[in-house]
Amino acid sequence: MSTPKLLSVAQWDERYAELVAAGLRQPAYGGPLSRHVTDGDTRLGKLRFDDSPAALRLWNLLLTEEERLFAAKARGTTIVGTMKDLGTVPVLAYSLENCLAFYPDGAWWIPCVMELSAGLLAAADRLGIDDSFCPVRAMLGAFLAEGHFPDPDLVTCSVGATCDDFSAIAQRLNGLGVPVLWWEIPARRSPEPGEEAVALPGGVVAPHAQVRFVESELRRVAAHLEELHGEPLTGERLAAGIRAANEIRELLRELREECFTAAKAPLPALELLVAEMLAIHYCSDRDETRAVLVELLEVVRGRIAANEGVLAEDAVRVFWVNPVADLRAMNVLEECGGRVCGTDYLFAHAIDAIPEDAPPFEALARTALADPMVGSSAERAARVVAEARELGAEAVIVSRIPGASHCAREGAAIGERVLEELGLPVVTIEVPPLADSLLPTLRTRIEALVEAARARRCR
Amino acid sequence: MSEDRPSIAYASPYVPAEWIAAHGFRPARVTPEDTRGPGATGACPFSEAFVAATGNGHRASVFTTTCDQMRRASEEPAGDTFLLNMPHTESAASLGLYVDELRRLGRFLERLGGTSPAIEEIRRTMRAFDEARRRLLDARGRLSGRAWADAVVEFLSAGDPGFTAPEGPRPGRGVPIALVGVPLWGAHRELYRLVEEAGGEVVLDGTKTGERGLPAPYDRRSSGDDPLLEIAAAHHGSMVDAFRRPNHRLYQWLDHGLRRREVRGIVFLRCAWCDLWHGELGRLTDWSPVPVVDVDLSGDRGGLARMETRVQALLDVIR
Repeated sequence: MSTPKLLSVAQWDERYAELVAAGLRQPAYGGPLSRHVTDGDTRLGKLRFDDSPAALRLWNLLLTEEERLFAAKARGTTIVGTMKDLGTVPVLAYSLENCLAFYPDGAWWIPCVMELSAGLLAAADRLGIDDSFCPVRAMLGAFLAEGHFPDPDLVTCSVGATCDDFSAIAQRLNGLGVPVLWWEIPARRSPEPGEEAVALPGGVVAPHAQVRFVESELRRVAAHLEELHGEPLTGERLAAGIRAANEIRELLRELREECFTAAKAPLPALELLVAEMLAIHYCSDRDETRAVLVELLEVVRGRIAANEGVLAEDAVRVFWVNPVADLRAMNVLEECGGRVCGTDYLFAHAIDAIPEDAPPFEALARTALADPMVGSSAERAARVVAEARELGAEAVIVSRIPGASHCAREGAAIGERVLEELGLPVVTIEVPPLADSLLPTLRTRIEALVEAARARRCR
Repeated sequence: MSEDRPSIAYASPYVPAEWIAAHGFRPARVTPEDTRGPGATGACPFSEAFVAATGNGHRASVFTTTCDQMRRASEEPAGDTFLLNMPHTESAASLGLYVDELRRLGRFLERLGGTSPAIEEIRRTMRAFDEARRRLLDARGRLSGRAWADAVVEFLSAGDPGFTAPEGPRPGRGVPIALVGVPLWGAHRELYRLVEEAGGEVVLDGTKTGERGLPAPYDRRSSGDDPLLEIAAAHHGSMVDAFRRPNHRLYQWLDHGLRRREVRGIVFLRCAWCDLWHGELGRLTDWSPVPVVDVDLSGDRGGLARMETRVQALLDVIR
């Protein structure tokens, strides 16, 4: 096995030719990365990629989702556009035959990947949703542009304990005539004295009354799905859907565990970020997601066994909080001497196992209520601290999402708790959809963080 | 109601004052004076002002989940706080959620040393606050927009159902204007004066500190065994607000009010970083049959000049 490297798109073309000549087997959506650049995903030209065929398959899976969705629609597959809940409603949808779910929220990366050429943010601006809102506002433009995904047969959106900007954007969409099935998720609270409590995935606890309420909301969503799809979403089907979801989640947890604990980072942060995102809705193909994760895990384990990595062994271990709107930022971390050793990309509840020892609708409700964004900033900070401690993080990066309502206070809460309990250096950065003009500032801040962490090693 | 009762601070119109009062506390709806401006980037200045105000001698404070900003701000005060989960959707289930939350609020108030009120005490308190609100609404026609708005704030902050609105000043003959949006607090309340001085008269107060924030009247004939259900129904049904999903009832309320009061212009009010109301600006502008001017409240006095300019521009367009 040769030493893994990070490649540019042009270098990947050469590698691709070599792999094909050597008999590379690919799924139907396979091909060179450069074709996506030609199709308009020009940001890829500024990124660095892992050189494994598994990484190629991962990127091709991600970047062909639009084609997959349109093909599915043409075949008569029921398409559910599920907004905000990050991992819950897709479990319902995929429990039905010939039904899939995708996240219109994922359009938030289109301005980055297409370097604003799709005009989605400008479209949102024209609707009064300007850059004081989270970059997920690109979703508005994506719905109106009619080319990024087919019209869903059903659009769902969780509301209640959700961020304001997403709620406002979804309401704007609804106000433009897009029907939305709203379902309610209350803010998770601690049980009162004497109140029946339920343990949720991820180690938090909630009152059983809240679990019951969320279960009733999910059953309401399921009833709409059943009526639309023409098939019952029975407990047995959902149980099977949960088992399938848990297979994916288990694979992802193993991948994260291997990557975060290895002496040398076996996979770059960028590919790990994309892999984590697959947990939410399987990139509209659950079977392929499983296959991609299996292949990535094989690569990672092989590299660990061979004591190979993509970064130097002394790369500073960084716990990263929140996903970035510009994928470039993950390359920058590594260019500055850091490596991701733990992550909280806002959807820990989509990675934790869904309980299989509870009635399936209740199990899914418990998982939905375990969403870190549904609980307090203090609880989220506690989990970040616990995981950072366990994973031996040497520094923490809190990446603010521009305009996101939760970031105003949450970042400070997390940073303060990290300092108080772990004494680690923390930096807060803000990454817009295209961070090119900010790259010098980002680099400076991350380099300073890395230097501070290295200095602590010497003490 | 005795001002000697310990007070419970709250900011949302969907926290029923009579429920707090029935448990032996003085419900103090806080309209902060603080206008220092936003602190942390991205933090709503109203939420910051409310957090600061909760430290002003109140026994406890009640926050709600009407928005993410207030939900997260609830973690900041040092004293006793209660976070009321507010239903965002409109259904029997969401009403049930609201009822359960109000019961939970009641238990919180009892743990603070409040009473466990008997049904008749609750009904008596409901009647008292209902009558006070009716008197306020009756005064709408004889008071200027500014005087009426000040009366509402005075009533809500005192939490005294014996409150009676003043007799004047009377409404002017200015151009009928509607205010729509977030609460007006501190120096921002000068807006009413600015409207008058520019030749307008606020005839429809759709701010949270205005008539849009008042619950529907109770059915005086009702005598059910659980008055909390009536409190909840009146407040739940009156949640005409940007945070509701969907929020078409806000536009229904506006449509009715604009036509009935012959409004000729709208001053749209949003806090800096308030996504929920900011998200409505484009839709409201497209929908409105009358001109709309946008005023963002940043929480600092420097915004008054900006506010004045916008109001004058609106009145110039209308006239």
